[in-house]
Amino acid sequence: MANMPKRVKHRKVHRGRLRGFASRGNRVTLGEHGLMALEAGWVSAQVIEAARVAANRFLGGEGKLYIRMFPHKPITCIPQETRMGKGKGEPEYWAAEVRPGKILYEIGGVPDAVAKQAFARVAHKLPVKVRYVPRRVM
Amino acid sequence: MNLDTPLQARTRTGRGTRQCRRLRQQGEVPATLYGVLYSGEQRTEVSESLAVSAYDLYQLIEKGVQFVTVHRDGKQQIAVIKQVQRDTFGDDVLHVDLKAIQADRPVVVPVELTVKGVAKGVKDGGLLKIALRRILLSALPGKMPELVEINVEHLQVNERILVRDLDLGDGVTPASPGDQLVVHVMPGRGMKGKFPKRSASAPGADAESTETEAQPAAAAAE
Repeated sequence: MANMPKRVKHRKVHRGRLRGFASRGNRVTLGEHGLMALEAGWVSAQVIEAARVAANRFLGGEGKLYIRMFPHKPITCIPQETRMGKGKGEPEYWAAEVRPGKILYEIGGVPDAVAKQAFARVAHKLPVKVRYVPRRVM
Repeated sequence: MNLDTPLQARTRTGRGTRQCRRLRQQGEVPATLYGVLYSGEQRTEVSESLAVSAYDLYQLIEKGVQFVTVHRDGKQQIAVIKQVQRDTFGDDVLHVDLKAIQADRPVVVPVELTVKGVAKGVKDGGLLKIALRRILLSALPGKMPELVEINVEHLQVNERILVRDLDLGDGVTPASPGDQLVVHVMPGRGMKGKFPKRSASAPGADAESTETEAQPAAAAAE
């Protein structure tokens, strides 16, 4: 089951522009290994869930996976073969806004070789370029 | 901890974003040396803008060096690396704060905690959760440990180690609260309900609470 907000102030929001870098959520804080976004983009709730399942299947119950993004943004679509106009479309799915530098997933309790392999499976699901980052002391 | 690690620096005259950006392009990192030094009853405030080599600084940070001796303009000063600012991706060092200290006065610095061994609970299928990775310690700079090792081999599932359970050595006291959690073995997948509720690793610490939890169960069994 994909994640979505329990309650929102507005059902539909503007698309907006993803400019700049992630100024928060750009450090590995919960686990020892992190997966950092190198591009900006929308990551849908279904993709977040698919990547989570892929990583957890590989980990096989070892370690702990942390998801560091949440799909706050409702994405609307207009049905096919619909004439222009008649207002904004209906919310179709939810997405997380990701900026370069954002830590998307973290893993704790496993060696770095295992974490890297799990993240490789996650990276195949994601629509943005990512890279592995270890936890830094300072 | 060794206090003699040298860090060559020069006094920086240029201030502001542009000057700092130019400095970084030349392979240097802007730094600030600040602090209060005491000699008898005399109090001296130190506040200097410095520039240090990015390569040298990176080498020190990667080694986990905390205390350095800053050499600048023929003067020397012991300092602790207080804060390191990095760019968004965590690759480049943008700025470093150096706090001037004295060898004969205690300082409070964060020290890295490392886990030693594999917990019994982890062998049984539990998961070791490290809640605290750096602990604030108060000690004389020369006596400050480089890292604190925690032996977790005896930890069963639902057992934990608190700050007050740590053996830090003579002259070293924790500045973090004593009841702060350091490590904890959580039940693994499918293990919930198989183990008794949480008890502290120290045998005497939570013995009473374990007994009080056991009594109602025993009474119910009777």
